[in-house]
Amino acid sequence: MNLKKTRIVFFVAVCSSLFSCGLPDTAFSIENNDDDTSATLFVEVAASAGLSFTHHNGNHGTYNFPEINGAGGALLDFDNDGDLDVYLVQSGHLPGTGTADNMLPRAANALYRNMLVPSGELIFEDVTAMTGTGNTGYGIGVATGDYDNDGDVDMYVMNVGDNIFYRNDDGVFTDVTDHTGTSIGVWSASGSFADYDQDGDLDLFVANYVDWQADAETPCQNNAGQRDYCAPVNYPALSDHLFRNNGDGTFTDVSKLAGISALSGPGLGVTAADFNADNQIDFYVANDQQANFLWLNRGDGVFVENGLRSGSAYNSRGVAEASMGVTAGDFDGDGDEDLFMTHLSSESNTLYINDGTGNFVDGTETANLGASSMRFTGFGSAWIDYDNDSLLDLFVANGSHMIVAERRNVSDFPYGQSNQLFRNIGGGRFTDMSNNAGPAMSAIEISRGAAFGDIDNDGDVDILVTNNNGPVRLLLNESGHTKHWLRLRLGGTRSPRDAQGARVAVFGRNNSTLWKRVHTDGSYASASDARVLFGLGADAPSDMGVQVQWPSGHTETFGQLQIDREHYLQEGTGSPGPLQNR
Amino acid sequence: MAYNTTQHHSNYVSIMALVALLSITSGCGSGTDDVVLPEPPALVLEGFDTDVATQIDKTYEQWKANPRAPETNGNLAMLLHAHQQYSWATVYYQRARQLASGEFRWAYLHGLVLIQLGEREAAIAALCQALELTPNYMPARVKLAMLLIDSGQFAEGQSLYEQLLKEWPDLPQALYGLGRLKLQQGQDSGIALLERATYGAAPYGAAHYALAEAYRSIGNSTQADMQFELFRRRRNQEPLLGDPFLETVKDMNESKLGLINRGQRLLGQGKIRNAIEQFERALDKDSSAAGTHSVLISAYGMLGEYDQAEAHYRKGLAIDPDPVRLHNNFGVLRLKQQKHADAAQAFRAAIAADPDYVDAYINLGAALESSGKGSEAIKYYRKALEHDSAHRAAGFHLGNAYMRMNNPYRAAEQYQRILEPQDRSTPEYLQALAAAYLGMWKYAEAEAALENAIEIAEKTARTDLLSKLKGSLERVQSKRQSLTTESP
Repeated sequence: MNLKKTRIVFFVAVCSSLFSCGLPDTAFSIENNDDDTSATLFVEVAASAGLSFTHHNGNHGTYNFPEINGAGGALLDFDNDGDLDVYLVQSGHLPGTGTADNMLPRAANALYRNMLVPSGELIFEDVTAMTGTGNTGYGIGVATGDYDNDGDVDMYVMNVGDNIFYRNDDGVFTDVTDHTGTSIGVWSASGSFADYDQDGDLDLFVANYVDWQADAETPCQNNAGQRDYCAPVNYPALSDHLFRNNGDGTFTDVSKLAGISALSGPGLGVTAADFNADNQIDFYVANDQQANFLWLNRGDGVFVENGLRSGSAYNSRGVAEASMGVTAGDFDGDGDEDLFMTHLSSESNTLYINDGTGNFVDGTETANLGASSMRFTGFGSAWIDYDNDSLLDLFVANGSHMIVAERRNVSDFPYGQSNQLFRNIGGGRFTDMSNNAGPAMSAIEISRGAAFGDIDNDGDVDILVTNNNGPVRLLLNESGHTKHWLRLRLGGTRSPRDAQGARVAVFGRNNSTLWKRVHTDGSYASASDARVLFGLGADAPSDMGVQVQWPSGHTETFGQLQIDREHYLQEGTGSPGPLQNR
Repeated sequence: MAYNTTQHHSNYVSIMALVALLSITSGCGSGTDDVVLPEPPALVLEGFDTDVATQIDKTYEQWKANPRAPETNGNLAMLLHAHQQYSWATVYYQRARQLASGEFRWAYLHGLVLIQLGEREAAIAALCQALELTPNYMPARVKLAMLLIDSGQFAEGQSLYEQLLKEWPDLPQALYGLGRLKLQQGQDSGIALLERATYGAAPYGAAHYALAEAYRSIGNSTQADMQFELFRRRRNQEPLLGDPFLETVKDMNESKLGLINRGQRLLGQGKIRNAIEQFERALDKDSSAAGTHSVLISAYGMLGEYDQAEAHYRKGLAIDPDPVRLHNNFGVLRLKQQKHADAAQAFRAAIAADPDYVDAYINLGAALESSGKGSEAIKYYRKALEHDSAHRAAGFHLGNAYMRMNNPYRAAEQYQRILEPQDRSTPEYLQALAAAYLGMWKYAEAEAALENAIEIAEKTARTDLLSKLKGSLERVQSKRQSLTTESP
């Protein structure tokens, strides 16, 4: 018997060999690998920039399960003015859970307009009322996408209870939940817009969590017999929903037809990508304390769950971890989508490395991502190249799910932890930068959602972090723009207008290639910038070749694009167009 | 798992050599001479279970009376460890280690807490120190080997696993750990090691998973699928390591969860009366724990105390919104009492509560067979297989039912379906298949099946079956020979 696959232990060697064959370290000049120096990599500016939002979870000592989960947020350019605005999901008092039911006003979600364009200043103004986006459900998550192909981004808001679909018409939103046929009255957490049937419009996958009822809540205790929040296994898990876009402003619930409703799982995160390289959009669902789902698209409207056999449902020890947030990206530069997901303390976060065919190996330990996450409960996360060195790094929003002993003395809601930043140092390995990244990364809070995008348009990725029962944070990247970058906004014609699902390749020297996917999904309960931002290192050529694999199926080359700026690439034109033409 | 606490000279020498090597590479054994003790954290016990808080308070007072005694620090650390207050426990263990650097248990238990906290290098150092003091403590060696490999110290981890296997050739955790390492290194001998890990008496889900991934990686999808299926069935099961030091810690947990966990462990050890005591105490803390009533039905049933068992069934029914296991366990109780009609009724109730609960179909089949209703029993075994076509116990029961109805052809069909993947049950299935062949007058096939059964029984250490299988084989061979001799 001859083992063909030796990837786990020799991963470092394999990756080194790959990179030397032309991937990032030569092509995009990673000359600065020192991680010992302390620097302020991010600064926190939410309040000073006018983001005054504070999340309330409604806790009043009765430990109702939704309170511990928190809510997310979105970075989206709702007014098409060229900068990212901020949408924040509020929870508030949980109906049916006690005496405050009739005393508290219903807290609302909030939309903040970014005044960067045209003022040049990163200042936000609350436009919730004028845009009609202040839903008052017990909010959890938000997904974004231009479902009606009219050129502006729409939102699907997920609640414990009725979800809301907001259609954007020139910056004013209308509740079209009933009209679209996307009403779900259960606890939904994360959503993903993707054109799974390749008909040119965005369909919607909704990851649902558990069947929680206020009147059926049971008291739970931790191992010290202390009252604490229950685990998800105490509640029946729900199946997820898949809505097919009919192209006329309505959707059809195809959950049963597509096979999605056949399985139940406490879903918290979802991301869409072609995991097995068959040119079909698949869905990966991060389930909490149950096996994760990898829904492979057969191409005929039916999905087959292949998590177990793909090696991505359980970690390498066969443990179904408590997956919260999930992100897919090509961290090792081999052209396929690798998965990273966040978990409870006492479990590590987990890296599943794709072999290009949709089979995965757990590469957490060899990547040095295991031990450093054991003390933390992670939620929102994404592959980001925060230092623009062309390698995908990781940010993880942390906050405990159970009482943190050290926090009992200092907080009424003692669940706080610090967030983490892991730098990709090449060769498939990461180093924990959290202690060297400045005070913004070391704040002790109960972080949950995280959305990612270049909010100040300076060429590096910034991070919106939502805190459970606490203020929102905006982490501005202070270092990435010192290296070269390329930001691309894509516009579909045969593909969905916002081009979600498109794969973009940037060609460096020596035939090296960086791949990214247009998407807003992933993380936890949050939605990110649909633009793709490539870090190119300190020594990139002045222009770079770009190719797009559109969701419609065809591949298009856009020639050499000048770096350190944003370009608009419209399907079928073969050359960049004016940024206003969206 | 029994382990040897005496020090064999050769192993002692090799373990000490490894520990010495680790001292150089990992700082093993360092950090214990520091005379400055870490500052103890204040223990805020507000909200803790009253019994737990009282227990910790009492030990805390003992510590306050003598804060530089290793015993008071260590005892408090163990209690905090038992209640998963790791960030507090680590400080008191550290103090105990510094105050009594020759004491194995403080170093070892501290290592376990450091693992929980993700402080891998410190955990390696603590376990190394523990093994310097007690080189042959098997659970410490297993955990250190695992940690070393997770930390990228492959040669040292491999050496530890190999030493363990010299002393305990069938130790599943060592077979599993070394098997995974070999596969990661591209050595196909890893597959054989993992197979041996799955052949142990106790189911080992993680080993099936690793084996499935190994088969997948070499393109053997049939074997991979079988192992994935076995993993699916056994994924939460693993062999016990047998760790008296850790068990002493766990036994200190007086919370409801601690009591239930202790009860489960005692039940697994066959200490039923002691287990019942723990479960009843857990119910005293929280009478709404329906699952505990369900376990108590079985436990009292094992002791033949049927009234007590039935009382818990009634109590459980009053509070459990999802009583499928209550009904099922009560059915098993009635079966044990040979009240077959009542048993069948309970199993039917379980099926009504959860039509996908396969065990209830099999149990209902058994109850019906016991009532002489073989045909109806077959219907329910078949239903079990409809819900889970790969359910081997259902296939085995169905085969047996056909045999009892003198239909060896149908029985053989069922037995053949459950022969793969091979595990400790396979020799029994082959034995049954041989019996079916005999019923069909197929002596050669019966002989082959028994030979195969013996081979697998030897491979999977089924010594309990071997003599019986060999006896059966001799009888079949003898009969076959006589038939050959008699033929013209």
